[in-house]
Amino acid sequence: MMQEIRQQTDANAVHRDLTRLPLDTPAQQAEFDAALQANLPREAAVRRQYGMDRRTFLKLMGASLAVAGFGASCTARPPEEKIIPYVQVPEVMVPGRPLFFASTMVLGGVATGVVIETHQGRPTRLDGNAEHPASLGGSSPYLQGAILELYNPERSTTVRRNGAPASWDDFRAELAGLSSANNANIRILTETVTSPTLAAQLVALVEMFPNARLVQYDPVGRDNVRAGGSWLLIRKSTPITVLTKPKSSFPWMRISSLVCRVACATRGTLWPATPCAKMQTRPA
Amino acid sequence: MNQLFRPAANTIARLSLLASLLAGVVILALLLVNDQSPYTRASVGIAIEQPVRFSHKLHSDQLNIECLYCHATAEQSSYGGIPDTHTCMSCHSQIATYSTLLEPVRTSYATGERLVWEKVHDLAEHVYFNHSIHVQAGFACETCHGRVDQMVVAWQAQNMTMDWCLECHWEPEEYIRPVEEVYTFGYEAPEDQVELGMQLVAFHEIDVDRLDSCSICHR
Repeated sequence: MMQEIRQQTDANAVHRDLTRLPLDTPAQQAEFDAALQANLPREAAVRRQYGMDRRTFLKLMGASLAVAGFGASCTARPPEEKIIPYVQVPEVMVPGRPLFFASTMVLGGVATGVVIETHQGRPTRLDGNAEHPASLGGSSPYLQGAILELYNPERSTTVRRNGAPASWDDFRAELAGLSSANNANIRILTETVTSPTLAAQLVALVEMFPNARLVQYDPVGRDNVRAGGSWLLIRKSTPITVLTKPKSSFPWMRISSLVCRVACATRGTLWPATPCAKMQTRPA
Repeated sequence: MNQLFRPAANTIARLSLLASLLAGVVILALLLVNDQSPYTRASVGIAIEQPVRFSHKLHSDQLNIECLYCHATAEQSSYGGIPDTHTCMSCHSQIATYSTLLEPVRTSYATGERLVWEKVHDLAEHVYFNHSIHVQAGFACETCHGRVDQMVVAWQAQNMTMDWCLECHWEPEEYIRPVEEVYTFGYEAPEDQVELGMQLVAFHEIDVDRLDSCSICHR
């Protein structure tokens, strides 16, 4: 132990002495090199290899940082920019002003009416559509977050075949090839479908291929809610929370929610939320 | 062991202290000059070459075409607007149809490739500017863009620094015009500009006290 400490102290002393050697003349430098080689052979090897020691390196680094800083501040001229106008401005568009589109957003099979703000064709914000009964102009975290989904790089913008981009013609050709072989085992994976049009199309497709199967899956589905509703009412059903005018009709009524968050109970929709927001709420 | 420092080192140390102080002052001065210089700030007075040799002098001064014909959104939008290819071709499908100067425009029209113009007025990204509010309140194109009607190749007329903006935001009555004079070039302010300006400022309900609030421009 003592041995090690002594060695360490010796090394430090050597280092201190070496750093005090002057380096002004070639003779002094040669003397320094010899001392370095004798005491710290590893650092001497580095100095020989790069022709530069720590001192010179730090000196040069400092100087180059200073020069770079000064240089950068003197070339602060803004980069030249381009203006790229339309070839033909879309008729309703005024560049520089937002355009709003009414649309719907489907989440867990429930559609919510939304208004999408766009700037030069790029969507920037989703909000509830005040004229749509499912949102009444309100918004939800899902709605606010949906704008990111539109820019999700994982989002497919085209038909894909085994992960590679393909076209609808490829798809139709593939489908036509399948219809000849009658027992094609087609599996169609979708989210919950509540659109009558899409449902009819899917049914037509399944009817074309007797072995085809339709699989619906949501990462966070409403299967349990549906099961509960079906158990309660015998036929298949999904409960919908409607809280309009509870106070005026039933002044004595209080709403208590256990486990389920009433306002967001039907996840995609906001119709319970807006009247809820107007009511006095007491946190659980 | 050798002495690390010779006697001369004292003088050198003092001198270098002084020099570093001086260097600091020089660097600060250079930065200030750099900040205000038209070269680094913006290319004031430097004509910027464009892909199409469009002459404002010909179109605006000689042919007397209204600014809004091409810069159509200046009254409605924050963005003044650069004409689309179809706007150029609305006249040039009939006039100067074989001019070589218009080759890029015709190519764009035929192929649907957009024209790429060089930006002449590049306002800093942290500044919000709205053309429509200025134009509608009676602040002329000429006030900021200079005599564009005399420019064969357009250049930036003002340095667009913050103190330049504030000159007008502090005293809008010095620059405001009747709305019908907004697109006039070579307008001569009347003798009683300040008095008339006061009336116009009041008429447009411009709240001068709020015009230098930070968030008016930096939002």
